[in-house]
Amino acid sequence: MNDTEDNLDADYDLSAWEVPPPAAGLADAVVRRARDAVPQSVVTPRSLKPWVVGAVALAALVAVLAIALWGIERAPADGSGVVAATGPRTLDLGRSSATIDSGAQLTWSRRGATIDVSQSRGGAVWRVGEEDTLVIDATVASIEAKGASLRVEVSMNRSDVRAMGVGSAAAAVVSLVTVIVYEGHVKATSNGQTVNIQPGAAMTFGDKPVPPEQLSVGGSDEDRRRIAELEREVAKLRFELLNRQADDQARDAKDPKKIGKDTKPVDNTCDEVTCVLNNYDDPCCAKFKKSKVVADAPCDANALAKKGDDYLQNGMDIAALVDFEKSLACKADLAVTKKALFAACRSKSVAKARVHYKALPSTITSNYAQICLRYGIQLDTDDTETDATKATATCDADALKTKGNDYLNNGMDHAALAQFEKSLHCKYDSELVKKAFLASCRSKNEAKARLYFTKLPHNLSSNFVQICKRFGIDLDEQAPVTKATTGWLQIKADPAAKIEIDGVRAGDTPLRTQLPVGKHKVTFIVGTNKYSYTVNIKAGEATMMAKDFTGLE
Amino acid sequence: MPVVATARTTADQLDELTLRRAQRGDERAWRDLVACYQNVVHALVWRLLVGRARHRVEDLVQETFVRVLRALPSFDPKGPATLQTWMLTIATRLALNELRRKELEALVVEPPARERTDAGAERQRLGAAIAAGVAALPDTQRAVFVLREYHELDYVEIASVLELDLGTVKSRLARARGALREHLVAAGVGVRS
Repeated sequence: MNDTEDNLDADYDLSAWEVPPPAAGLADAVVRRARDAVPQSVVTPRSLKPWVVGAVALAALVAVLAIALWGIERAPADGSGVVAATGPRTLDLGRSSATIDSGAQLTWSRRGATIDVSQSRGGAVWRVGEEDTLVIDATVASIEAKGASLRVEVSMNRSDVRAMGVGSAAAAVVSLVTVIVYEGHVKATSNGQTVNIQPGAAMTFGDKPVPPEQLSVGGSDEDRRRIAELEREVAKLRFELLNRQADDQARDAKDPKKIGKDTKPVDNTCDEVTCVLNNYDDPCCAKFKKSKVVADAPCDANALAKKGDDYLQNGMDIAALVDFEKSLACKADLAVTKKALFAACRSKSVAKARVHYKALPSTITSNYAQICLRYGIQLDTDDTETDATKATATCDADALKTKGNDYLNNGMDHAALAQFEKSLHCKYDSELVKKAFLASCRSKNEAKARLYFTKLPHNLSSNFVQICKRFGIDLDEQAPVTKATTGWLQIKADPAAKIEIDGVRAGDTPLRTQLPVGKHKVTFIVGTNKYSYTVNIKAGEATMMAKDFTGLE
Repeated sequence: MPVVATARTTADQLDELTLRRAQRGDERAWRDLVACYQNVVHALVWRLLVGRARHRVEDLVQETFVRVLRALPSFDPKGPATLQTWMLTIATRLALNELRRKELEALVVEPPARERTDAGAERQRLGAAIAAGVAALPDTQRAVFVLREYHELDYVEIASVLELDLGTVKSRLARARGALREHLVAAGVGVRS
């Protein structure tokens, strides 16, 4: 580019013309307006001149007449949009439509007869025209429907740790997708398995969906038959409930007293299980909170076990586990213990699974160890084995990385970080360290962000500081006080060892790294052996670890 | 101390994941996107509307982002335009539309925003002279000049933003620079030593 014709910048300092910063709260104002504006197909200009309105009305009239007279049926126009529903809303997609619950988030795009939807949160009832094909990407499941009516609910939860008090291994995320089919045939694919869902049936998919026929405890034919029966009953009840709600809404709409009034929609998201999973964060959960208070009252073990059964049938494993444990607290029961173990395994709560596994008679433990193994939990090993050893034995770094990426793309940052850390635990990957750093920043985990920041390439560190700053973590800000919050660790080993710090590969000896003040677990990997030590890092000080493993390889 | 946008206004690039989330309608990602690009968009609109009331600038910046967020699902990150250039295109066209409106307010060159030291007085005077000189440029020359000098868009990008031929961009930029130079000489502000 020839920019030298009149090099004004060389003679005058154009930067002298400064601009003040934008007003505070710009992002809030924009998001508020954008939220109100979506979907874009229903946005209207701020002011329309009368002739524009007239022309549009005339065009619409001509189009209606053309269709009426000549029976011209045009396919709906292609388009796309984003819906972040702050209240119940209807999305008109031509031959298809959706009724979207408050709080739901989705994006849609229509290309010809195919409607692609990414439903990341909340519930929606979809009515799909005969000529349309609806494909919903609902986090853990992909749903395809044609000429059907169905409800899809996506619930995600990151706070089950707080709610359930389970270990960090199970802290990841509960991601549930429930599909209820009212009419037509619907196909759902999850984790490589495709199932057809018949009208009147419902199916729930979790992180690792299990076909209904596998949902039995003990695996007997009788159990499977009973579970299938209960599932049909639940689907039927849900169907009836939704029909009743629809009837009520239709009646309210016809009622002249209620016309113009804001008819309050049924809030399907505020059920007790969702509240428990969300640690009663939602204001509408207050009504359920009292149940905790009355928990001290004399309890009904059978009722609690029954409630747990219901949750289990609906794929709400953590809620089921809670009720089974409450039931066991009332009255010890081997059958309930088995179910609690099953729920713990399905919800990937290793610690809880081990507790219930130990309560089983040794004659039947091997069966249950097999069941839990399906969910990636190995119970028949010595639990004093180090985490690192277990991980090395079973982990697949690439699969964990892919899972972490999926979580990250779906906004599940805590879960993504957990998966990335597990992957790094299997295999060190400098690119993945960057993602772990990003997930730490996004999940506002400052300690982890600082840990991974020290592992980033120096030439990129300023970019990463900026990234983290956007999520409220100012790594620079702390720089002057690093003496007060971090210290150095120097590690030597003979022979040279691979080093993991807090379960994350840090490099090979000799190694010098900066760590946050406090206790850290340092693992030396020499050949196939692992030796773990705890080190206490002091502010601004360098701590030396030197280990001699000669003769121990 | 508020951060001011100086000569070269570029934003940090939004990471791909945040962009994908924003395209899916994630409000947190929307906020991140706005936070990432608000300075650059605001600076462009401010400079294109130099001399207009402040509230118009804020309105247009908001309007730019609202349009960006609405159209974001269809934005192709692998397409010819970067996200920033695409946003600047929207902002420029909104600003030019605004400039075409008849009911414009009286041209007011912004007074100095705050007290400066003596050492900064000359720079302040230069800034005011540049603002007045750019305000006097025809709209399209002003847009070409601001996009080139303050946002570092290349000729092809400017041609695309303003829907002009490459030759027209070059000639308008040359004319804008010439006119501004004359203005600055007439204003008697000092050249770089």
